[in-house]
Amino acid sequence: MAALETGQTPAERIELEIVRHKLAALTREMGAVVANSAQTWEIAEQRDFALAIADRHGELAAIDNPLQLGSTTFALRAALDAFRFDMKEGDVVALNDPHRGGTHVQDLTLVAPYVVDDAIAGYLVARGHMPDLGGVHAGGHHPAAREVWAEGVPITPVKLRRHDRPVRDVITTIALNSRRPEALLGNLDALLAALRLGRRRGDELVGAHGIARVRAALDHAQGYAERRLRAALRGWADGGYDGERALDHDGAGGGPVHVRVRAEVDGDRLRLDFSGSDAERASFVNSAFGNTVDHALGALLALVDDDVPANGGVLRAVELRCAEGRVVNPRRPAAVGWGPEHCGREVAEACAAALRQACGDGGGAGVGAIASPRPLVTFRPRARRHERTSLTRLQTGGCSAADGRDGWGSPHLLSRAELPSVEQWEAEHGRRIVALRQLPDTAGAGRWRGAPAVETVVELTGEELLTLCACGREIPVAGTAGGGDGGPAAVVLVEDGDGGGARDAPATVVEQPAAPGRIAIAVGGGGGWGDPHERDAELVLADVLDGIVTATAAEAVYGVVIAGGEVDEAATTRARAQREERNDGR
Amino acid sequence: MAVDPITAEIVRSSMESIAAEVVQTMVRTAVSPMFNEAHDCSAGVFYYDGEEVSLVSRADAVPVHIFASLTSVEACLEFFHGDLAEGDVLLVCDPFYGGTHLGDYTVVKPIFIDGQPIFFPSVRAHMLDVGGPVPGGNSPHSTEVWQEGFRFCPLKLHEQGIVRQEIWAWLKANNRLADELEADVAAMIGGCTVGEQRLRDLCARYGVEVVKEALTQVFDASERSLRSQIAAWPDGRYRAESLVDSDYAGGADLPIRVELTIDGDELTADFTGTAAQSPGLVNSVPGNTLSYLYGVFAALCPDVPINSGFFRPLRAVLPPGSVVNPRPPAATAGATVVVGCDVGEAIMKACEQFAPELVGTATIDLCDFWSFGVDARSGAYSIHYDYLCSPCCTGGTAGADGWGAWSPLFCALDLASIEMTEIQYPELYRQAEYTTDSAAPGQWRGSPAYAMQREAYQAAGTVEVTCSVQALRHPLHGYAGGRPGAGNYAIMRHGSDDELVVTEIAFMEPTADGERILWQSGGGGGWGDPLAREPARVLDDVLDELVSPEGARHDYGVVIDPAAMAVDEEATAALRRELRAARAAEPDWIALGRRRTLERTGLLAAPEVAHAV
Repeated sequence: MAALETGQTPAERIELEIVRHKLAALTREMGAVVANSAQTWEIAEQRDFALAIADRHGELAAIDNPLQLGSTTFALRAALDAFRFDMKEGDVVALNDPHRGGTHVQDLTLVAPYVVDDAIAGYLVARGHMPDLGGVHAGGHHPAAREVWAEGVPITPVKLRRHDRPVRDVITTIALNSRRPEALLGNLDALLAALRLGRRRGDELVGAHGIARVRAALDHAQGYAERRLRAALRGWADGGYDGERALDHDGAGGGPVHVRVRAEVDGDRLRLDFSGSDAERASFVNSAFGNTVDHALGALLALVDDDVPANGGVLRAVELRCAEGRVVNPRRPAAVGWGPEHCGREVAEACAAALRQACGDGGGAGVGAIASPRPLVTFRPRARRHERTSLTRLQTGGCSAADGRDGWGSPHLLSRAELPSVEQWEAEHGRRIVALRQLPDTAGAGRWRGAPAVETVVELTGEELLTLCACGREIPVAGTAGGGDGGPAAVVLVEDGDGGGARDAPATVVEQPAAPGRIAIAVGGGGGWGDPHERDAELVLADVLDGIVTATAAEAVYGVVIAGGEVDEAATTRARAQREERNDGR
Repeated sequence: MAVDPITAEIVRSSMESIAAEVVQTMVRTAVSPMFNEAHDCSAGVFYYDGEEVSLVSRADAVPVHIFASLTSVEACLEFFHGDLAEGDVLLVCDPFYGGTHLGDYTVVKPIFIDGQPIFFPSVRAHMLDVGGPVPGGNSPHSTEVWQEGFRFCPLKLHEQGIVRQEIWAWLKANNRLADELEADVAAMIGGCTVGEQRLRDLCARYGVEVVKEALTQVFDASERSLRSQIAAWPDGRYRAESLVDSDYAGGADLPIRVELTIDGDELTADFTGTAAQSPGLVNSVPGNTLSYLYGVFAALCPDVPINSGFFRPLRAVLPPGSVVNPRPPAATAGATVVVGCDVGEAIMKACEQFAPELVGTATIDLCDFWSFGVDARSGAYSIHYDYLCSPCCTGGTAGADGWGAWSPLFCALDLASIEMTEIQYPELYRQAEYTTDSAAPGQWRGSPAYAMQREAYQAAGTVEVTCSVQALRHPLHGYAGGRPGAGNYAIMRHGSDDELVVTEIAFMEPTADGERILWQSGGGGGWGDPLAREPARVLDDVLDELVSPEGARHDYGVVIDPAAMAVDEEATAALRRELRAARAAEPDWIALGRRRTLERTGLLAAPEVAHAV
């Protein structure tokens, strides 16, 4: 708050900054506890969790995972709506309700009050992906789901612990609805341990700086983020900007799903309105509003030039809206299980497309696509319903280029996850990964090229029932500023004894037997940035030597002629001068 | 300190009255027609002596509800051991926490007297929706209990008198009819609260120690009565079976086998040899299986007060991993009225071997209709479970024809009024009547089959219907020479070129306004040889149009002069001699109504016309 800020001495302001950083660091330390002690790969490897510290009003002062800023805030608000006047030290509230600002039922949020001198000074929030919460299929991904109840059990705010003791009927009921109760309870323990750590460190902070200073820092952190964001917005041209991104299909036989956003910049304020998006679908591709906000803010933070901390201050400068009944704000009890992947990523790309225009010549305009489609590919052994193997977990790549940087590895929004280890995966699953490789000529071409498509090939024994939803095959990652699109994603089945013949998997498969053979999944290439003909020829040569670009494509797309392992300068100059106007990157 | 028998009897009948008042409170305050019209709920009073839970009394109860509640109350006490207080109200439903299937919600209210939880009024009711992937909870695709609805262990709805709002909100978030759920559960609690008041009054009047001692005597008296009845039956082993048509998951003709061993005054029911548990939804957890064991013997001993004392001489052997004792996470939505009923039938058939004069159809067979759609008159989402489908399963027994709708164990249920149903649901009924020649023949015949036709009416858009049928291939047994029931079936789009004959299940079949569904609910089995039925009674049946003159000849060997509407005694005697000889060679002869059912459903080819001479 302005009055507080101006009344402070420089020393006090420095101390506030120090505490602000300590709070942010604390959320990361809590995150490390969760990642290192959780039972499931979604948390330990994909890092699908968030730890946050909030002020007394329920606004976040720090969060370790900027991609869950929106949904964590809404979850905290829902918990406080239910229990604001009934929170005691040692209480922990749990909830996952997607239709109350959540994402999907697997994301469970825990809220604990942080109490100092018998008064609530703030809240600690720990959130993580639970392995299974009932529904039709283990894991909760059911393409044909028409209602959230087909995906798992919604949990409205309930107390998991009271006065530091477990509430047995609530905990037992949550575990009872899971096919993997031990793993779920293990993850819960990890989140609770993080909350305990948060309390301990909070006490240390209060001991070192005093409660008044810590409270002020919670507020200062948000004010700071708000000021930084508003300053950035002031640098954008006022006006309205439209962005759109489509998902190939909705997993239940419906055609492309369009996410549309209108971004309005007005001085130091930003409004994002998604009401022009398609109507909600009778499938799992809907994005619950909390998820929509998460992905919209993810795009905003990725494109804002300055380093804006992710906390409630951001929400003060941005207004997010969507009419009810849209695919990005579906009505209860719509299914939303795949929302965090699709069409959440489409939300991010649509926002990026709009905001890039607003950035003008600012730094954000230099950022390419920030996500990439990831097909859902899972299977389970016919005889064991609880064991679900996800091949989506193995998929890497798809990073788009930015101005000044080639794409490498995972795209922005997915960069939090660890890259998987082939050996570890093979040991866990007792089956071979036949190949994990980059595919040539799939990187979106450009002055800066996208990452190439990465193909993973896994053995199938014939004992599996497949569930998959392929996306990104028709609508690849787009290039930016004249760069080419990335190569499409692919899901291909090869049957043993088929003469090696491969066929594209159907768009959606639900619990169907797969013949013995192999399945090959390719995450598409990232989009390129800028004109391929402006790429430094030496870089193109390096791409060719690395097998990312073939010599043929080097000439056809980049206008770079390579002979005898070297760039033929003269031929390259000629080729580039003669080129026809082409914008494909393939 | 013994209590005098008059006081003990007053206490006993007070307990019965209390249970009756609990269920009346429930049905008069609940909002769902399932409860206030059909009375598909049951109340009981349970007693905890510090070591075990006993059933004291029950009223207007469906046995499968209330006997199975015993394991539910036990599960509650076990779960909240060390954490139970006055003013607590508990709710439990999970099949693997002493329940039957997720749809049956049981409210239990512990009554503390002198600081100890002693009595537990309880109401059990089947909720129309319990969340989960499928409205209503029943799907032939279910292979696991997680696919059937929201599961919970025993939960406290009230804690020391305070409403635990967070739990109610959670239950409502997992229910498609959230407001009805809230109102109906509140009605269940209201019933228990009335029960609490009456129990406290009873204990205040006589003193709690007197009441406890009276109950001990009441239990012992029922135990002695059953023991003396068992002792009167000949020792031995008696085997029988009943087959489940289909488990809707690819399994057919599942045998439920039982061997009853009578040894002095003890009886053991051993289900070894019963089918393995099903991948589908018909599995019957022990609470459910035992409820049918108790139910059959309750029917055989109508004068004995039914309480836990009565159950003591009965033991069961339930092979783990069988369809009568499945391992989690088996699906169980169909437990109550599929396998459960065949358990009852198998036991009753075994009893025929030592107590033929007492046996008869005591369970129901399944003809089950769920409709899901939107009522155009209100715009509200509607789930209709149609009770009118399974009413006619009353069988004959020695000295009485089958009469009315439900078989004895289920006759606490009422048929909903058709007029009320048409107001409450977007449906129109076109036919509701007994049919001719469909009663299972016997010296005492079963009730006739009931035929109904119904169509969607004033629905907004498509109404989806799930129709499940059992007891078509393996109908309700006949006893002591009586014939089996005619069997159930349904026909969707009846009368159109596109009829769908349902012999097992039609799942979420779309229907439109004006499309008719017809179904036959076959009656219960007959008792005794049809050729021994008094011709005058057959004539009465003919005059009532329950039997035709052709049926009188075919099934009963009674010749009726149609002009005079009188029995031709000589012709009858002659025909009966002939039929007796023919049937000696073909004891499994098919009754006329049964034959027509088999033909209509395509299970038997069209007949060569063959008249009995």
